[in-house]
Amino acid sequence: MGEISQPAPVGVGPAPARRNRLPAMPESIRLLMRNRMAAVGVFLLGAIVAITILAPLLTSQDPTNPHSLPGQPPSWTDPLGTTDQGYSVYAQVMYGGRISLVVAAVATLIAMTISITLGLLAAYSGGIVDDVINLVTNIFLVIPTLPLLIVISSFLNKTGPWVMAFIIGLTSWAIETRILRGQALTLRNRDFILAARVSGESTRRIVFSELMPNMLSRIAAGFAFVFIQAIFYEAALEFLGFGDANKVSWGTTLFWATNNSTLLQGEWWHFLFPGLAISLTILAIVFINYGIDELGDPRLRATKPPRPGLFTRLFRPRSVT
Amino acid sequence: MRFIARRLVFYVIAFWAAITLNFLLPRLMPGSPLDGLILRYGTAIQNNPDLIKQLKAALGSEDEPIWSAYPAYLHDTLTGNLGTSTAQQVPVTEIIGKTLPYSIVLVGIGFILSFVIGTFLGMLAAWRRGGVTDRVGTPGLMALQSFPAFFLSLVAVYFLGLKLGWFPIQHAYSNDSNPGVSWSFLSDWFRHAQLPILVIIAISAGGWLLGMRNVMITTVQEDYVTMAHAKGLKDRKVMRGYAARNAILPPLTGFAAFFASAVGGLILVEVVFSYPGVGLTIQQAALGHDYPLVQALLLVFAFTVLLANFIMDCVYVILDPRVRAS
Repeated sequence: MGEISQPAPVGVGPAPARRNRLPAMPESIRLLMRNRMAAVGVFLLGAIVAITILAPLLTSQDPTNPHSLPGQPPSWTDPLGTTDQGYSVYAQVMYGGRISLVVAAVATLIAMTISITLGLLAAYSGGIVDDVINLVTNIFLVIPTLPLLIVISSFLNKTGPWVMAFIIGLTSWAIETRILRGQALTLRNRDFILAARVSGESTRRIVFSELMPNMLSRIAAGFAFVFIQAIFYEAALEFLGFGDANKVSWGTTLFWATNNSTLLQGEWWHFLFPGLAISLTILAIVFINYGIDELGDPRLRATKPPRPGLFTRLFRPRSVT
Repeated sequence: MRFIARRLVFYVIAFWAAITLNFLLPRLMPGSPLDGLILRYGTAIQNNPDLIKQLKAALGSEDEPIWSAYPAYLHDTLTGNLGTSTAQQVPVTEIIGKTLPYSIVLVGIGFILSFVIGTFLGMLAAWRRGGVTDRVGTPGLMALQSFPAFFLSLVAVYFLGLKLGWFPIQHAYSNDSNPGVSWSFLSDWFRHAQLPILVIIAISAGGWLLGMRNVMITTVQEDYVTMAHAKGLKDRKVMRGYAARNAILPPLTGFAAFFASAVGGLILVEVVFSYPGVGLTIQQAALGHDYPLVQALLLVFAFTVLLANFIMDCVYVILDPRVRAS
């Protein structure tokens, strides 16, 4: 794993450790925004969230109310066309992000809570606790997630958004647990942790005030990574027909887009726009994650930015000079 | 060989865990899955006392407590007695035998190609940072990767299949072709597999590229690489024999997690292409609440992932002399 963003204080004693508790947040955000890719990502994600929140202002149509002829291509009245049932694809895409984003966010919160707790607990406790957590994590790593989610959904009969967030959260914690455990293990024997232990600080304090702040960049990357997974699994489950098909979300719009062989009749607008919405959301977070990576690993950071240009501005990874 | 033995023990434990999870899931769920099945399939199940008995053993019922049902379940599963499909009324092993070969071809060719292509491009990208491969390949594959498998499949089906007509868009073979070992069937099959394989490469090569690139960026700066340059070795030799040779190990260890999630992509690709492999079958079975088939397929997926991991471990041993020595 990469180096930590804030160098561990060399000095011993509570004073430098305290200063280290919150690694200057404004500084890291400033660094993040200075990275062009990350800035584009933050902007994109902000725009998507704003659109889903402001959906009622952006469209007068009800996404669940058929209002025009079914299967119409994009036109002035229906900018993104209509579905097979005559719903406005535009309205469905605007509103659809609500369920997709909230389910993914809740699932991420559940998964990351498990990951952070188990990862830190395993690394700091060592011994049998570490062995057991490590074994369970490794087992969950090799059990394929989507088939497992499909089996669970099949038993649950109808999977509403909350249930979906819950099962996705419970099945997506393994990778991050392993990564966080690994990083915590390398930090565990650093001088500042030993110093804190010698000075008699409680385990809880050491874990949460000394260990965790030094892992913030990796934890942030973990949130980004799990969120991408969760967006993907939510959409995938709904696309495969395991969600509540009466609720409007990007995944269910895609589900209807392939049902009744809509696709084979050439109705491209039906799948293209919700699919793009999901992809753009994932892309935004990938960009942000790229910035977090460079934040955490100075070796990936460039010394001098290359000449700006629209294409390079968006896509060019930095070169080392 | 201690390494291989240790990994084998882990895979046995992991497979046991998968079976146990399979056993516990229906018993932990709210409501009784069996009642739901009887309601759904009605007479087809009720007139078949054997099937009822089998389903009770697999899904749990009040008649039998968990601790006595578990050993029987383990025994049945391990002896290959996976039950009968409630929807098709044939042994699930028969269905698996028919569908698995199609998936193995997709996965096998798709993942091997994506590994080779991704790792090779990652090597080039790291070697010439900011070069053409790095400027076009890295962001390009990264962008492709953020398209979910089902969306990329839909786009491919619509544009490459339906609009341009370059590839067949559905199924594993044409309707008029007879499955069997004949040249005409195999070529037909290959023609149908092309587009799904292309999609699989598109969604998974980026992961290998990024993994390889990020590790190799650091190995390029190692002393032994400088030393190799100083010895006057050819650039290509330094890149392949020194930098890449050492950079390839960490991405390989990430294979476990990668493959387990890539299998999910396979399901989505198969569903979009109506490709008759295990992915499409598990979706159909799960939607139809055909529990014996769904559960057996979960085990098939788990077993495949474990097997792939084991093969990778063997590759790892070949590539890393340190593991061999210990």
